[in-house]
Amino acid sequence: MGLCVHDADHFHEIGSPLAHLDDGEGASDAERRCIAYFRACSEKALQGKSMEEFCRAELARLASPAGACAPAK
Amino acid sequence: MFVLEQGWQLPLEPDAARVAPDPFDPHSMFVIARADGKAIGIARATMICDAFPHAEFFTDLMARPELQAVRVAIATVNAVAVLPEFRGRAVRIDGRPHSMTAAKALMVELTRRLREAEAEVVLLTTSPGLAAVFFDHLATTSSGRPSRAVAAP
Repeated sequence: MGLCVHDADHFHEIGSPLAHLDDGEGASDAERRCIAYFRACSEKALQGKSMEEFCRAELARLASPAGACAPAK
Repeated sequence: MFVLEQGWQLPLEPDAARVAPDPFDPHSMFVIARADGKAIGIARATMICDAFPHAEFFTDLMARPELQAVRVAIATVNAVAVLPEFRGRAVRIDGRPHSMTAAKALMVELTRRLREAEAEVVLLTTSPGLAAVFFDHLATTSSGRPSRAVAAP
């Protein structure tokens, strides 16, 4: 069975649109500030956990009686 | 997927025969994954300067000066869906040496198109679980803890 994704021609790598700016090369000052902001947010949200660890903890919290709620989207 | 699996309630057309057209669709780009001609996955992206689906989830974020400064280069991705039997399964891509999941292939193609559209930032929401791990694998960063939004289209 073959899978076809329309017009796809780059399957060997994946990243956020900002990933190519990891070293800051070519980034504007505004883009650098945006990258720094999101990295700080991520560190604050994950607090050293992997995303999998983070999700397990969140799901356990949301499933608890105190955290019962509609599913997050 | 969103209605049957996640319980979303989508607006219906007046005769209730089908779901009403999404007003953001005409402003968005789509990629579709097909296997043997059958659609098995889809993803949608929108430049927020054209239209901003689910803008209410990003109100606080968009007020940040870091985001305001790059607003014209911000896109949002949503409606990423793959049929259950194709989830988590690496498949061969026609004409390509690499195998990957349909979801990843969709995001690779969507990311490529967004780069062409000069997007520098992509915003999306997801629930804590496999989907969040998937997007983390794609090198996204988490902007905060999960919100407790009520399911909606």
